[in-house]
Amino acid sequence: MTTATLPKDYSFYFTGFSRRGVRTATQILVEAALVEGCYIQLFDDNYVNKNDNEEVIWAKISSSPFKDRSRPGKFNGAVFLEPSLLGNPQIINPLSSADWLLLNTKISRRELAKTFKSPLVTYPFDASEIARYFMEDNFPGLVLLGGLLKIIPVVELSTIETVIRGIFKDRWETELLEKNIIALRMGFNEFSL
Amino acid sequence: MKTAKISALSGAQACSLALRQLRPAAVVSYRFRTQDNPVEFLARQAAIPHAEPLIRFASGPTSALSFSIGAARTGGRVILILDSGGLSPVSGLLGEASRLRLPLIINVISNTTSSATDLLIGGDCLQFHCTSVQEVYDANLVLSRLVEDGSVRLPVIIFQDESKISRFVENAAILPDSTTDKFITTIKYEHISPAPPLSAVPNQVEQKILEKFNSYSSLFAGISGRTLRMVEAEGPTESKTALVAVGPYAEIFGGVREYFKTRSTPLKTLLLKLYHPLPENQIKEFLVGISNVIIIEPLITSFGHSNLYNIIAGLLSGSGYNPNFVSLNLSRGNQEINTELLVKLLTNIE
Repeated sequence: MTTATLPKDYSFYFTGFSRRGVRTATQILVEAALVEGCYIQLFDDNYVNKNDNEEVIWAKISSSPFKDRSRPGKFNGAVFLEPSLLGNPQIINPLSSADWLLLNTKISRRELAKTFKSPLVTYPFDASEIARYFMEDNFPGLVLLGGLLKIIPVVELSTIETVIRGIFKDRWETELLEKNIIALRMGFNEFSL
Repeated sequence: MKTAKISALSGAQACSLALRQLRPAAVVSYRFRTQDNPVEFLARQAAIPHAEPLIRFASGPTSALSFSIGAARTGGRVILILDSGGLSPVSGLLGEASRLRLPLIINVISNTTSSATDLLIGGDCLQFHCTSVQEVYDANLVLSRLVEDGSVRLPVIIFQDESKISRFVENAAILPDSTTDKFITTIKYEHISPAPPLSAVPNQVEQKILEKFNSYSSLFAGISGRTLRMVEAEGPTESKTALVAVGPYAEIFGGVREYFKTRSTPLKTLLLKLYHPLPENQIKEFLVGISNVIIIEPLITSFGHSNLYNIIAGLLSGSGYNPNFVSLNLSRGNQEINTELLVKLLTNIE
């Protein structure tokens, strides 16, 4: 394990409908950060909110040990796998003090800017289209994860690929594994700030 | 020494890895709540074998403990996994496990609503309240070794808070099996042969357990680089105000300490992890020179209010110290409200 040299600490949350890969994407990112020598924390807010249909998973990544284990009072950003969740006041509430939002949507950045005021920077990205093309299903988590690395360069893309291979080599067929990695790379390549 | 593997693990995952390394003969569990409960995950994972252990999902907490007692008497290492709701009804029967001097390893996943009962369990069981994912792993290894020591031989209950630990994912260092194998005792049949009853002088037994705790913790530090501590005391010695609480309230301490760093009256905090036997000497030493003590305990609706407060006040009664006590019963649910409440209280005392 190398020693992490992050420019800052990161706190963010992933949200989407249940069983659409929200937890998987967050878990892969924190595992990769851990491989690069960071300290991580991850918590499934659903346990607190008792909602079976929507998932909210928050994570913290830091190059130094955490002083507490509480939910962040202020998140740096959020990744929405499902745009309709922007209608859920409880889920969007933390965005009021966040810096950025990565949203899986076809809506243009200009359109989004009408809804979300500065200083929140919105990054729309049609990850579902890429996911459907490469994985033949709407699992946009890894595509968004690829894009996220451009917003917060918290880990190397290659580390995420290594982690995916490590975690899923026994659970997924080789073909499915490769499709997921291609989706991740496409997310990274296609997303622009 | 082989290097530990750092992984991103939840408390339940780290616990299951420790329990697997203990190579149990039997894993017994009862889950009080039926939906999405880490108890079942933990039991199934812990039972993934090197040598096939018996796994049993009991129909009730009493049958789970009865089965564990029976299994432990046959000479194997037995792990019992419960949640707080399951622990509460068996507190009487736990006394039987202690009387028989059975080193049962009981992991309890405690949740906010039933946390009150965690501190009321009787019997001569050791009770340890974990404050991190790493500590769940370490405690299972160290305390199993402690309770299987021929001069201790008592059940141990290791508590992990469901939201703060069981479901919480963070860095945890897991030792290789080859390292833990050298640390863990090999249970032999004669280990469970009739043992003498506990001493008629409980303080002597407790003192011996505390000494053994430290020696096994040091032994563990030799293989892991980490010690398991009974208590964590922080803050400058000149402090006149102190907070005392048990494991799961650790989260509140951070925020309050941060606030009081800048104040003229700095704050000392004492976090108790080993709740039974209570490390009385360390508590007394911590409270020397303190004028105001706030004891934080779970919120209970029926009985048993301020259990810890009464014990500590009793401890000091013959010592010549007479600080002002505030007994504060808090739910573990909302950390922000708890922190705010404590800051207000402490400011008023100041």
